Amino acid sequence: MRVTQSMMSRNLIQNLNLNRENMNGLQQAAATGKEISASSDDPVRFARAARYRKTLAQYDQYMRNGNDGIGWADNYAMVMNEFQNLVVEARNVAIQGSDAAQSSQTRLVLANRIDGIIEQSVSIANSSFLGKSIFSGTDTRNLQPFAYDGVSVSYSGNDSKMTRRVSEGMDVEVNITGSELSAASLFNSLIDLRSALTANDAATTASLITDMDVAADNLLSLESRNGLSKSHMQMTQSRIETAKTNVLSFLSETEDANLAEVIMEYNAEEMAYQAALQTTSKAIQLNIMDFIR
Amino acid sequence: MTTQTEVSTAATVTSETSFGGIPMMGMQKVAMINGLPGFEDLHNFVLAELEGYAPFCAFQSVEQSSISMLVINARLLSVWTGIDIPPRELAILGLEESQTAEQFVILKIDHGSQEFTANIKAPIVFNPATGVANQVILDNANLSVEHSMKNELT
Repeated sequence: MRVTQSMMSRNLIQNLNLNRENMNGLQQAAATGKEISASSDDPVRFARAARYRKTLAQYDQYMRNGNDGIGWADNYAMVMNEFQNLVVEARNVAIQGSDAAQSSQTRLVLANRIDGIIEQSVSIANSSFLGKSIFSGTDTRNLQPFAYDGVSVSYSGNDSKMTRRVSEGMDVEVNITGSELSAASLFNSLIDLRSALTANDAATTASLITDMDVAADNLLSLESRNGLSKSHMQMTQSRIETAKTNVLSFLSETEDANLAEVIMEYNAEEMAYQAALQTTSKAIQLNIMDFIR
Repeated sequence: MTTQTEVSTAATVTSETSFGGIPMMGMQKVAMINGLPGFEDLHNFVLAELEGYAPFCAFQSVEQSSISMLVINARLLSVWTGIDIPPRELAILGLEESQTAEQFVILKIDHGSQEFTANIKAPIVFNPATGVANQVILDNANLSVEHSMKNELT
């Protein structure tokens, strides 16, 4: 077969275009730091990278949920500590009131102090976090779930648990409900103590010191549960952070990290392109004069 | 008799890996006892030197050839001085002391700055005698998942 000048030129131009195509891809990779820019480059890897990008978004959501849950746990820890301080104060009042040498007048004064502690406790039980009531179960818009009418403390929230999804299939309970708080016998013990002091009953007042200890233990138990939830969420956060970093490493290596290789490859391609360009340039510069020399 | 579990040929894993055609050498099988966080279903990897890219190594999944990461021996990093692996984590791998454990950290390139960072908070701790490994999350607030390699590579 006779190879004509035009066939030669066409082949050279085709080769040149092929090289230029390769170079475009590599230049784009080098410029963007991304080896994968379109699914046509490597559909399998692109699909896998896209899937893991989705996973990253999921991790971010888990991290946000975990941070929110840890925020609630920190808030509960603070509030439970305030309750404990009030219990200590009430216990000291009970010790004072149990002293047989105290007058009825003094016990009335002490009863008023306990009444103040009850009001403070109810006020703390009506605390909110980020505009949401913390002890009203899932009825977080009920900002006054506890009411004190001077005789008893009532609860109008629900017993539902708030959960946060901190990992795949892992929900952590983050709230302490008002019923659980009531079950810690804090309010009842305080009300009993106030009644005993008002009635000038030293013996009952003495027996209620133990009730104060029981309330403190119950509150501590709720605090411990809260602490465990927090630590569970923190551990999960660490694992999610590690998983996220691993996926990012994989993606950076898939999408970014072949940079050194891309640059090396780029240089090689550029040399091939320049060589092809020179050859083509020489070939298409040939004209009739070259054949009659 | 060598106790290290070495892979005899590179051909099985180099062809389709993200490291492309870079030859891998001195490969060791690594069995991740808890999987790798983020890739929990993958348990079997090889740790291999990347020819021409020392001291960087590849941590390459055997089960899914496109899953691989760039790692480096943690002991080569100045920041690693004084970092100990908790004894309970070593015990899980059948190790008694930190010195006998191989420790690698996973690297990544920051998308924007193109800067190399290492996850020094969660090294891959490896028992070279048995080939079992675990990614250990260290309980140390000073350790970052994105420790800059800028001063480590000079």
